Amino acid sequence: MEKLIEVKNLRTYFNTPEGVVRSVDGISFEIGVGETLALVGESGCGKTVTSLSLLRLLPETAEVSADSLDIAGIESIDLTKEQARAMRGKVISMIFQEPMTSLNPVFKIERQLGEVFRLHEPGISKQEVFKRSVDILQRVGVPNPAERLKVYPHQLSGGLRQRVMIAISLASSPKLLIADEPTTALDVTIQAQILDLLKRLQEEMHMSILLITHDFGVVSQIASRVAVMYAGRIVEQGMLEDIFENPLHPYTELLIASIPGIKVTRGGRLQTISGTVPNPLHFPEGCRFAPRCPYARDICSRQEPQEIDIGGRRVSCHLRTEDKGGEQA
Amino acid sequence: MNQDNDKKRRDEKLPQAPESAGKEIGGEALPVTNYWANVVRLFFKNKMAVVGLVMMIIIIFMCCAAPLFTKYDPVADMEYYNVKQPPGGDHWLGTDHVGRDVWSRLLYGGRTSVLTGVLVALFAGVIGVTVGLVAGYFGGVIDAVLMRFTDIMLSFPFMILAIAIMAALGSSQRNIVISLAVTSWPGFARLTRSQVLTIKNSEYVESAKVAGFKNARIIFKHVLPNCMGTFIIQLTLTIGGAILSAAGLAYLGMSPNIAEPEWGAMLNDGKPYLQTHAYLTTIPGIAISITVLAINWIGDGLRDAFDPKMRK
Amino acid sequence: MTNHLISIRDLQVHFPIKTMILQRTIGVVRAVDGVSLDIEKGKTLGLVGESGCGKTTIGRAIVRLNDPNGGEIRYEDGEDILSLSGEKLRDMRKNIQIIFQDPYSSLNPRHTVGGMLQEVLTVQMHMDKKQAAERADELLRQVGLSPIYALRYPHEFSGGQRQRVAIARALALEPRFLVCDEAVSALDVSIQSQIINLLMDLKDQYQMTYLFISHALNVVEHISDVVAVMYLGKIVEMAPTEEVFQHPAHPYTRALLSAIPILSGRKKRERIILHGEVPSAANVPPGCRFHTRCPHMDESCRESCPELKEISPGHWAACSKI
Repeated sequence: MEKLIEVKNLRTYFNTPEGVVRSVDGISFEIGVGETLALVGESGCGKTVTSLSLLRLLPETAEVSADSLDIAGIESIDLTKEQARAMRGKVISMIFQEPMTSLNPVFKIERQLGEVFRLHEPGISKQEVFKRSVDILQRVGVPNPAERLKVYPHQLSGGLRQRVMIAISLASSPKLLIADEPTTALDVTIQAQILDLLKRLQEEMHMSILLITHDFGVVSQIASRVAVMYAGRIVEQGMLEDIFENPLHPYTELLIASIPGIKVTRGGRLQTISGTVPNPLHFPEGCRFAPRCPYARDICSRQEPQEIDIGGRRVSCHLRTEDKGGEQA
Repeated sequence: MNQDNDKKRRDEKLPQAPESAGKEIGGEALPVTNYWANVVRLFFKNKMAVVGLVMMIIIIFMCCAAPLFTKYDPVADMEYYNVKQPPGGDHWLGTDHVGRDVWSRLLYGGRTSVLTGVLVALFAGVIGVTVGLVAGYFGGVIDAVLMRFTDIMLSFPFMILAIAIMAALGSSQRNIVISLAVTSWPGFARLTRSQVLTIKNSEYVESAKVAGFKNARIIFKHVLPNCMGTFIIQLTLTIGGAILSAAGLAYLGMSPNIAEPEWGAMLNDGKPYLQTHAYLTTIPGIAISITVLAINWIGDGLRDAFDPKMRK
Repeated sequence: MTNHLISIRDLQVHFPIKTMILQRTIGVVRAVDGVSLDIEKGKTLGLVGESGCGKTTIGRAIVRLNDPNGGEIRYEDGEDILSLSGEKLRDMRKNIQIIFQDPYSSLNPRHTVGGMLQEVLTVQMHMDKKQAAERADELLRQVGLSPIYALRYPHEFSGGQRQRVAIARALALEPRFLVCDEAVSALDVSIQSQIINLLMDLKDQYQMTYLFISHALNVVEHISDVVAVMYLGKIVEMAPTEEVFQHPAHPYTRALLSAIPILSGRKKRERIILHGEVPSAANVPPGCRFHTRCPHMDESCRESCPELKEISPGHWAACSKI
């Protein structure tokens, strides 16, 4: 598959008074054209920081470095602020979890949507902006688009606001859409509508999606590939079915087993992961999951596991390294 | 082969989940911090606030221990032969129009001014917080009545109201405090009420209700402590404001006793000589400014220290 | 003598919509509009529905955090909870406790964890200081926290730990009925499973009865014995969990279930995507409330509001098409 994004060894550190927070610490992944990659993990694992690093939307205290950060054929690690701004919107666009706070409450939808068209095509006529606005709202399934352009965000329901948000982020025809928990704030039936819409738009516009979520249900409905993050690292990545059917990393395995209604029968005891997510100021030595891992061995707390390739899947776990070593010997 | 290995691992049963009850979580060595320790730590991080605090401590100490810093009595020692001496020499801040030492009047006058400020803020605080708590917590008709009354109080120009009260009660230091307290409590009431409205709907107050606690316990143990942050900030700002207002009243001639030293009264005394002997007004003016500035810095520092967004 | 711990009859909770300045009532939100249900002793009733359907309002009515406009709620066939006040109400409250969604706002930031437990124990359970301190330690251990945490303040805890503290505080009163209002929704997956396990253990240990309110269907399926589905202030379907999930009868339930995350090892359900939005509870559509979004709607649905009827033993649904 043709690659749209290729990230090698991305690191995003934050300098804080308490020390350096290694939010994202050496992750590599790629996203193919028209593909959906889901970045899954619990809160604080660095998944949102990853997406903001791609967009270069980080505060001054952040330091981003990477061996390679190839976005649509452009090496973007050393982009200036201006260039990064040009890249946002044209190449990458983003939708957020809370559509209420990502729309400006004091401007009508028309103005917020029209702004994007004007930004990317200066000198465009008023009629043309209106025509395109109606057009894009229709595409994202907003009923009566011409009327909806005249209202303020608070006059729309949560589902409609998220649709408008999607329209705004698609107005510039981006190649990659980053969707950060796009349905978390929405009700189940509305969630289904939005996921359906994203899938349809992806096919129509031939765009790639980077989905950021903690919800495996959402992942299973839309993603083709999955990368599981833990404590600033990608511990495992592979095709959706493989990850769900046969997780290789203990963290993935335990995480999936802890969701009700998947592996455990009703009323049974759910899998739990003992302990808590480590403090990003003081990650444990060796494998970061080792202190919570029921399979941990001596080597796990001493040495960091290398990422290895097992049948097209990549996993960072000493247990798998041994398996592979055993096979070769 | 690889696949088999995977399968084997898969067939091994997942390790028994730790018993959720019975097994203890924790033991990591988190430092035990408490709320107030945190407030103090954040306060001392703010340089301006610390400067304000140091200035205030010096001012209060010098006023309280005034006899240590001057040999003149602020009232009795009138040197009729030596009036309006400019600063320098024996009277290092000069003498006023009846020959009293300005420095000693400044020190003794500070006692009255700072005390007035503190008393006004305390009285206004107690009245205002009580009104705000009751209005906010009980809501409904009680809220409507109390808050409309507060609004009416707020709609009077406060200086005129204070002057009116002074005129009715007669001028004395006590009446200055009363008139200023009466005019500054509505600020406390509004602030407290808005805080209480937020806290009242918080889930911990609802939990307390569901636990069956009585209203008095909920108000004093759960609602009030959570209003303390804003209360203390408002208190410091009111002290500064009250010192200024008291000085203003004195300057307007509302001062109770011309002989007793007080910063505002000193301004008033120096008023006729503004063009010839400017130091008579400048010196108490500077004292007022420095004190109010210090108090406001402390208030700013406290606001930042209490603001949960500043917390880790 | 029935076996019901909580019986709700025709509960109505309406909230007036008032204008900003004059406080004139210009409308009414029918958050709960005629709900009847029974919760059996020792069982868990799962209450599901989308936001604004009134499920939280029911939970809050049971613990008397709002004032219903009509209907009754009985505890153990006793007096109507809604008619209690003063000392009687305070006594009743011990039996019925609630755990909220947000573990960050449900604990008083100014009280230590031990302090808040001891307050409940001394004031409501009439223990002396020493007994209360011992019992507080015991409660913390019971919810899986080390007693050394008793001296800590809530902000020093993670979300899961705070939720454990909230559970301990509820348990301090030795309630027999616990309302869990989205109690695990704000937690991460692995923490969520810990709290679900804890709730289920405690239920077995103390023979407690739960009302488990959640929008997460897989969690409700896991923990509940009976499930009630709400839509716009009314129950549209109620049945034992297996029955609801295997043979959903109401078109809304079917659509909801089809949106459940499907992972490996499960048969794919037919995806039903509902169109449109949930109507506002301030402006409820006439007839069947679901008719504006229902794929099987016809003229009769616009006219009369179907009542809950028993379509098979223990399985109730409100749809004129069944």
